[in-house]
Amino acid sequence: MKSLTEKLLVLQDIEIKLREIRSEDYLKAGFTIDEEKLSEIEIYKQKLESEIPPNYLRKFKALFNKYSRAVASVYENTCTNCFSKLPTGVKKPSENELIFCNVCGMILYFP
Amino acid sequence: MLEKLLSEERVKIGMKAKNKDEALEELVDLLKLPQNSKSIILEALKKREVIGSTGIGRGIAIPHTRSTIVNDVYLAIGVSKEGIDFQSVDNQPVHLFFLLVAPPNDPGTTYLIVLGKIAQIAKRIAKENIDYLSIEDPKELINLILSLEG
Repeated sequence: MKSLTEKLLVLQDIEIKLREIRSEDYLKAGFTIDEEKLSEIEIYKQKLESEIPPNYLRKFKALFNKYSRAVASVYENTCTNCFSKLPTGVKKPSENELIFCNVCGMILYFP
Repeated sequence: MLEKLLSEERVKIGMKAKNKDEALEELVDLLKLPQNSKSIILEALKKREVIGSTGIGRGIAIPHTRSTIVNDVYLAIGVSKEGIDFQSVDNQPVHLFFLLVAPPNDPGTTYLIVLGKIAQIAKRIAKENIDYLSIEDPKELINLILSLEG
């Protein structure tokens, strides 16, 4: 069962993927896209969104629309979006909790 | 460019996978990620395959995804002597896999450049009928790939 952060991370990866497959550079590599199957991904995305509390989903979308990302992984106690060191004591959140970077505001994913 | 991404520990000759899902799992194993990260990457790869197989034909597949899970661009190669049904565009089994995983924003758009290069190499391998199946040594396979980079 995915935690809330993991669900948002998966949602972000889907959003990035959907943008990527439409880019010219990507299509030049010669991959084919099945438009019908895209709707399956959209349905999955909507299902995932329905599992996220509305206030967190709004926050996610606001971040993603502004910065093209909303979730950043933590590496060696550093936010990989703004590269700020996290304050001491910041730990992996519980299943239904989110932790935000206090510098850039990204949702933090602790691998 | 590919020289910096290729390493012997991320080359698997003699894949054991019997189907598409097992193939993706065996390739992701080469990245040596923690279990949670591995399952998220696998999910992303499978989602990409839903949109359209990355089996580009002539026995070659290039499964790929961006993911927040990774902080760097990773390239892994797998060879299956028996061939694996990857629902490729030509319905032929896949023998040669290039797995590419990158973070959402990589400087210099390495991911797209590498994807393009691999696609070119794959076309060359198919067009020139280059024999990679007889290669047993990962280093030799890497040298072959690098020689085709152009």
